[in-house]
Amino acid sequence: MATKRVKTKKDGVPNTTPVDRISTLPDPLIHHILSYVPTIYVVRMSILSRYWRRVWYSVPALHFCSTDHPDRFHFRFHREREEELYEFVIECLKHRERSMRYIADSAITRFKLRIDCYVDNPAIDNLSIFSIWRSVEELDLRMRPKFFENYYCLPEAVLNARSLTVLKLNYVSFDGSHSISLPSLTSLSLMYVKMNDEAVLHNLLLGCPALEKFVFKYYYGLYNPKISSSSLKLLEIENNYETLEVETINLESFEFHSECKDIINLSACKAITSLSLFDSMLDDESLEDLVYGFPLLESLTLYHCFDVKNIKICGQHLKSISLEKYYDPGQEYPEFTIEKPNLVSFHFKGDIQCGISMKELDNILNVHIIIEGPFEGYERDWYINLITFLSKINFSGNTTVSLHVYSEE
Amino acid sequence: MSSSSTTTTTTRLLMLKASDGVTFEVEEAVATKLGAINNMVEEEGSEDLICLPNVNGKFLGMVLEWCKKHANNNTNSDKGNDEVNKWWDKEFVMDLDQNTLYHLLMAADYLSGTELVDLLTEKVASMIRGKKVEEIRETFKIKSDFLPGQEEEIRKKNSWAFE
Repeated sequence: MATKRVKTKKDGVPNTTPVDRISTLPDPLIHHILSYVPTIYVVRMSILSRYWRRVWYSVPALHFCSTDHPDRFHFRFHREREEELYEFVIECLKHRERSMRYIADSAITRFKLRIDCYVDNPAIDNLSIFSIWRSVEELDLRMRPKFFENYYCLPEAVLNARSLTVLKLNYVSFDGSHSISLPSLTSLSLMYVKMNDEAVLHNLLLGCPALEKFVFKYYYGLYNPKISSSSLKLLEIENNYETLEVETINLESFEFHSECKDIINLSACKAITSLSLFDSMLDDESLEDLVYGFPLLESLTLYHCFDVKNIKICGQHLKSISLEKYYDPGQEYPEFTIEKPNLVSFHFKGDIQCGISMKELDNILNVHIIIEGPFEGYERDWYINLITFLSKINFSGNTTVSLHVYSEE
Repeated sequence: MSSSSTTTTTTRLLMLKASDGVTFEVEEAVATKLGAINNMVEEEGSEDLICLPNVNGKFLGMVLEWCKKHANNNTNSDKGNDEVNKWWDKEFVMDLDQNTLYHLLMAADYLSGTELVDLLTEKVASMIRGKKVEEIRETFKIKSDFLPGQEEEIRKKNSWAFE
């Protein structure tokens, strides 16, 4: 209890002498705390006491960020400072490497590096010599270049890190020049990634035979990507392209953010139980076909699908539906018909001019509706519309409904 | 959750007994937010009284208060509740003194309350981030056990981190 307020507690024990509590926490908790602390502070804390000196040499997670320490690393187009950060990272790794011989269980398993707006290539190539790539399990590299053409190519050591299970990459480029082998990788997240062609993506996925979760957003260089993997369970894609083919027989959850009207080929993904479409431009028929294509579908989310006019959603196994739809100027209000659902929950967010009707309901339990209030006061018409809207939904007897109205008033 | 039309409250109550003998009666759904209790319930089944010899009543009470809040807010699966939870969490850790923080963290860890451990460790981390070493020493009352001159030597050797 090292707070300045010295209080007498309710149980009568006065707080007087301040005690060092933090140094007595078990190692896993200390490591947990320090996983939220930039490495520069962990290094500096090594002069606190012998205990903290050992902590710096054994903490499994290192993270570096150009904004960690404003006076030191915060650079925007300052080359010297940029180099200073690389030197710092390299110095840390050197120290850790040396101490590994003396301290058991001191391998680095998590490594995070964030650099904002670098001018030169980030000096990760210089890190290839370290043994960290043989022990690292979670790697997060986010190095944003000032110039687009500076997108960074990963060294071979990273692309062949056998212990890696979680990999997050931002602003990197895959040019296909290295072979990729990540046998333990289960989760891969690529954002703002450049790829030379479709074959590079194909080879990347081939090199990750254990991959279960793949998040793929804002990539450049691909027009007709094909995603094939037999291990993949969860896929999230956000981008516009010409066509997309997904061939993942074990895929359970698919989330797709795209404004493209074009063909998504998901015919091989029969195991999908959860489908979420954001900003889709698919018309009623394509959307219905898509939904019908998944016999096991349990959860469906449609977020602001632009071209929906009159759609029928039908699924034996559907347990939860979530719709969000606002009025688009110049378009008709859409009609949603939901037939024979075994729903447990239904969420709607949008305006009451959208028509929703449910037919042959058996057991809806949870209905949650958030609607936009009127722009010009609550007039009688608005209430009539609300009642019409609600009556169409056709709730059954044992349903709980919660209704929120958002309005500027 | 039963789906029958007569929603009877069949939630089972558990008795948790702290190291100082204080007992708490909590709903099973609340207590099982703690991994350790969830395991005990699953393994031992019918036992309604659970003794927790490593946790003091005061801190067990606080842990359960947190569980209760989160269990209640999670019943409606709405994204808005995340916000409510976050706001509530912030309040929860805001004025904790270090003694309480320490015991609460140990209790949460012992009871495998993963989310609560995350919350509390992040709170401790926030007391370290952005601080000078001297401030950290003062905050946590960490005493140096180095030999005279040793600290200065380490500081010199690691000058790359202090400049």
